[in-house]
Amino acid sequence: MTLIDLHDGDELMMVDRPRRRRIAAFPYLMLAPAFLLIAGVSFLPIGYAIVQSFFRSSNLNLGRLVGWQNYGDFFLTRNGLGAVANSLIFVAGTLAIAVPLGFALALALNRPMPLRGLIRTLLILPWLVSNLVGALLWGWLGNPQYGLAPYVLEKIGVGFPNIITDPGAAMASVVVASAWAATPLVMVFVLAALQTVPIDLIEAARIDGASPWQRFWSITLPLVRNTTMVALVLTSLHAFKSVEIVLVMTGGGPNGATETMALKVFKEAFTLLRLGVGSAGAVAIFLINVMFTMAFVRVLRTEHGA
Amino acid sequence: MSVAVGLSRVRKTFDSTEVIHGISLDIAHGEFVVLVGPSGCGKSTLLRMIAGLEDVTAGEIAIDGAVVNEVDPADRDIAMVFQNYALYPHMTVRQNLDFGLKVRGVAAQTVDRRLADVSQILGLVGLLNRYPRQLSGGQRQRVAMGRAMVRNPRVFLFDEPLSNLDAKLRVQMRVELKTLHRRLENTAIYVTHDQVEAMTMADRIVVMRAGRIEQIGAPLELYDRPATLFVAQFIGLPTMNVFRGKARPNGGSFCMETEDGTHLLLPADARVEDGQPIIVGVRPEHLRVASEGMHCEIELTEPLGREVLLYGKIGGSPICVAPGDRLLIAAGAHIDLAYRPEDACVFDAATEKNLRHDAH
Repeated sequence: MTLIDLHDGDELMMVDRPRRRRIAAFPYLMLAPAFLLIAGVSFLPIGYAIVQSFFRSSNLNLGRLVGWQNYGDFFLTRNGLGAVANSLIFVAGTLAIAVPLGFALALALNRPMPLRGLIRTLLILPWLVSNLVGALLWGWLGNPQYGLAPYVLEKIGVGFPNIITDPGAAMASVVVASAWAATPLVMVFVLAALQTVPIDLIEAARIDGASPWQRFWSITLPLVRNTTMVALVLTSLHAFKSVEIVLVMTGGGPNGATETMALKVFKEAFTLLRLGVGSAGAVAIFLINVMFTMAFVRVLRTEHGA
Repeated sequence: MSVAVGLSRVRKTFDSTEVIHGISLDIAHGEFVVLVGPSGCGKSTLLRMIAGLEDVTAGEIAIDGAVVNEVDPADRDIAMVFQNYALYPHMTVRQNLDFGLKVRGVAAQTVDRRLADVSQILGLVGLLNRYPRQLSGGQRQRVAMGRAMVRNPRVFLFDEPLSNLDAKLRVQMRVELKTLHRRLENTAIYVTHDQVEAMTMADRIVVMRAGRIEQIGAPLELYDRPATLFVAQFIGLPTMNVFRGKARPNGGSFCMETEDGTHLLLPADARVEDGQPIIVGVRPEHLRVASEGMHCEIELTEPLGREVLLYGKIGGSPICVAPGDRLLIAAGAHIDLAYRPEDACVFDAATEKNLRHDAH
C-alpha cells in the first residue's frame, strides 16, 4: 500500500499499487503463448521478408544489401508490369463472377424450397475443396487434349478455345476456376446477411406499395451491403495472393499471359532462387492488401458514423 | 352503416391446422375496432389477412365493398403499423415517411406537402433527418404512425403497436392515438392482447378466442354484459370474481349454493333451473363490505393510492374486492361481503354462456 501526496490538493489518496500492476500484467501473460506462436509463424517471416527484400540473396541468408533494386527488378524485369496487370484482371474477373453469382445463389437459397439444406451444402463444397484440387479439376475439364468441355462442345459443333495456347482463354479459365472457388464464400456471407433482414421490413415495404424489385433495391440490398462488401474484400484479398490455381492450370503461360504477381513471387523465389526479388514482390502484395483493407475499414466506419 | 371492411366466413389454415374458424365481421367507416384476445387466438393472423400478408383459405375479405382476397397488399389502400415499428434502419425519418409515396410515383410537390402535414401533426419536424436508431421508442412509434398516415389510406391496421413501449409512454401514446383517430376519422383495426388498450381506445371491441369471435360490442357493453365467462374474465382489471355451485330455488327466484354451503343471490332475470351447475361472476367493485353477507378472510391488501384492493377467499374461491376507497382493513381481518344481485353475472357451468336475460 502506498500513500500518494497529491501536490495540488491536501487530500491523501491510498492506492494499492503493486497489486494493480500484477492484475494489469495478467492478461498479457495469458495471451503471451498465442502471441509468441503467431509471432513465430507470421510476424517473424513477414519481418524477415521485408528485410530480405532489400538484400540480394539466393537462400535464407541475407546476401549483399541492394536497397530498392529488388523492387525495381520485380516490377520492371521479366514481365513485372504484365504480372501487375494480370493480377488486376484476375482479381477483378474473380469478383465480377463470384460476387453476382454468390449473391444470386444466396437470394435463391433464402427462399423456402425443397432440399434446401442439401443444396446449400453442395454449393458450399467448392469452398471446402482445396484450391489445388479445384485447379486440377478445372484444368482437366478444359484440357485441349483430353478435357471433357472441349470434347463435348466440339462434338455438338461449338468450338472451344485452347486454354493452354490462347492467352485470352487461359486467363478466362483461371478466372473461372478462381471464381468457382470463391463463390461459396460470397454466398454464405450474403445468405447469413439476408437471414438477418427482418421480415417485417419487407412486409412494411409491400404494404407501402414497393414492387419486388423496389423491395430488393431499396430495402434488402442496403441492409446486406456491408456484409457483401466484407465478402468482396475477403475474396479480392484471397484472389490477389493466390498462387495455386494459376500455377497448376497454366503455370503462368502462355508466355506470361496469366502470370500474376503472386505467381511471379513464387517463381522468383523458388524457381529462379532470387529470394530478395521474390520477397520484394511479396512485400508489395502485402502492402497493397493492407492498404486496401484499411481503405475499406475506413469506408465502413464512415458509414456507421452516419 | 357503410361498411369499410367486411369479413365473411373467413378461414385460415396453416398446413392442416385451422387457426381461424369462419369469422364474419363488418367494420363501419371511421370506426376504431380493437381485436383483443390472448396470444394464439388468431387476432394477428386475421389482421395480416386483412392486410394481404396472409392468404385467405376460405371466405371473403372486402374493403369498401370490393373483395380483396387476391389483391396485393400494395393495392388494398391500407397502412399498417407493426409491433416493432418496422422502420427502415438505413433511411432517415424523412425517407421512411416518403418511401410509400415515392414508390407509388406521387408527385414531389404532393409528397412534400403531405410530409409537412404529417410531421407537423406528429411533432416530427425536428427529427426528419435522423435515423431510426437515433430516436427514442416513442419517437419511433410516431414515425411508424406517420408512415401510415402520410399515404392517407382507407384503413389503418395496427399490430400491437404499443407493446414495445414502457408503461408510462404506452398510456401517453394511447391518448395520442385516440386523439389522432378522432381527428383523422379513418377506419382503424387495432390488435392487442391488452384489454386496457382495448377498453380505452375502441369504439367496438372484438374479443377473440382460439380462432373464433367470442363477443363483439362497445367496451362498456362487454364489461357490463359479457356473453361468456371468457369475456367476463378477459375484460376488466382486476379480474371478475367467480363462484361455482348449483342453482337452488330461493323464495320466488333462485340462488346459487356453493360446495361449502355458501349461498349467493342471483339476479331476477337469470334463466336457471333447479340443480343446474352454474357460475356466478361478481366484479371486484361490486363487492362491498357489509354487516352481514359472505364471510371472507382478507389475506393480502394492495394499496394503489386511489384505493386499496383486498384479496382473500370466500369458501374456497379466491376473490378480489375493489372498494373504491382506502378501507382500513389489514391482512388477516375477517369481514362480510355483499353485492347487489342485479350486478352479478350468471353463466352456465358447461357452456360458460351468460344466462341473464339481457345478455347478448
